[in-house]
Amino acid sequence: MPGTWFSILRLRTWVLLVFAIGIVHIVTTLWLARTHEGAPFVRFHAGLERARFTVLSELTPATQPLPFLMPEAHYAVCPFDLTDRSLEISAALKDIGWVLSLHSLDGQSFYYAPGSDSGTINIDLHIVPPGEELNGVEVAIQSRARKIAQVEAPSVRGLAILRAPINARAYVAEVVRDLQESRCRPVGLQQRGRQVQSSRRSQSRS
Amino acid sequence: MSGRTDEAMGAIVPSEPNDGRPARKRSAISAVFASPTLRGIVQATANFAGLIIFATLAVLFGISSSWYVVQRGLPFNSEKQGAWVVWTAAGDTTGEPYSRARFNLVSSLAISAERIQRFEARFDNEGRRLHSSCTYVLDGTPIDAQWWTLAVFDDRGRLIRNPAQRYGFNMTTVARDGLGRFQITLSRDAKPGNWLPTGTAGRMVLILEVQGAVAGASDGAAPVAPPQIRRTDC
Repeated sequence: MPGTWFSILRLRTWVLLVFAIGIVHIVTTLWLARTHEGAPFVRFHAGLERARFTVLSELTPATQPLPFLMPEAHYAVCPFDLTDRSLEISAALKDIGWVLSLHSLDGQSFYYAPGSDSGTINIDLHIVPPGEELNGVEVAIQSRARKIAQVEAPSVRGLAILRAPINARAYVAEVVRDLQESRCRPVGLQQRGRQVQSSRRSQSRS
Repeated sequence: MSGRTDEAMGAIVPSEPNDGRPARKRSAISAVFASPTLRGIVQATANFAGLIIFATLAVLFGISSSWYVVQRGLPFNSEKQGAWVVWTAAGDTTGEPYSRARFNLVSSLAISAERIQRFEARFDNEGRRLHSSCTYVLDGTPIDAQWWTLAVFDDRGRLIRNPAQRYGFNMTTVARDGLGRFQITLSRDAKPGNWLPTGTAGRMVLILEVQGAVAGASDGAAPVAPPQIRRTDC
């Protein structure tokens, strides 16, 4: 009888141990997933001027802003905050290997446009905060006779990154110049409201 | 049976050997060790030790199993191709927590894996950890993609300092043979051809980013084949 009781006790201990391991496993994973969320991106975001493309210096061990950022490329970065405004981005993807990507600060990649070997691709984006009504903005944008893609960001803060490959040293200056021509500018809510109103007036006149 | 039952204690007490000590002293020692107070202390200590062992095992196995899945991946969140691993949920923070934990830990700026395939290698083809004290040759077949770039980092994702200031290659900077194949040598000392200096980085990580892979396994064509990683000297 004591032997049977001992076996039951051991079995119960094993089951409890597996259960406890499972709990620790889940808690650790969730802690890793949430506690460190986007910390390097937040520091990176804070260190650059907002709503403006900044061309980073060539990547070296001394200038590398984020881990595992691929070298052999030049980067232009525009940190944005959509709390009380939206954002317009204009970029020209000159060649194959060029990439425009948008990321939220928790690491979510929510937009991506690659370059092509068949010529320059011009990208015009209008980025709005999560849950923002697009109708009025749409009218305002159409009035400028430009085709602008609208992108709803999953969170208000994020990074727009334009990457241009370095194919040869001789082209570095040209690539940097092309990156500097990219535009990233905020569109205030009031300004957007005026644009919508003026656009509606012009539509009603016509 | 060589013992007697102490009914007051309810325990089997071994019969007293004749070791030359006075019988009164022996009985005093037995009484101390058999006292309910001391037995209670011993029992409590044993319970506490058991609890400590239980908690230690739970924490040890719980953390290490989580760490293993986050670092190495499992079939539901990563795909292995030889020495290379592709994280299928890269750049997606809405998915399962292991991939989120991984990308928080490595803090890399990942673009969605649907758009750019990001291969990562921490081991050679024989499963040995990549280390800067060894020399490796990467044998690459033509990569059927619009664009690719390859770089070497230290274990924490930092570029490796070297006098040549060379940190990687891309599809236009790598030297290839007439069939489009290429060889990249990773070593401390300068090598002819495509040499990628590894300096004194210690453990290393190779990253290969493939953009716009033309062929995919689902299309019936061959998937992107990352280079083989062969250790030649150590």
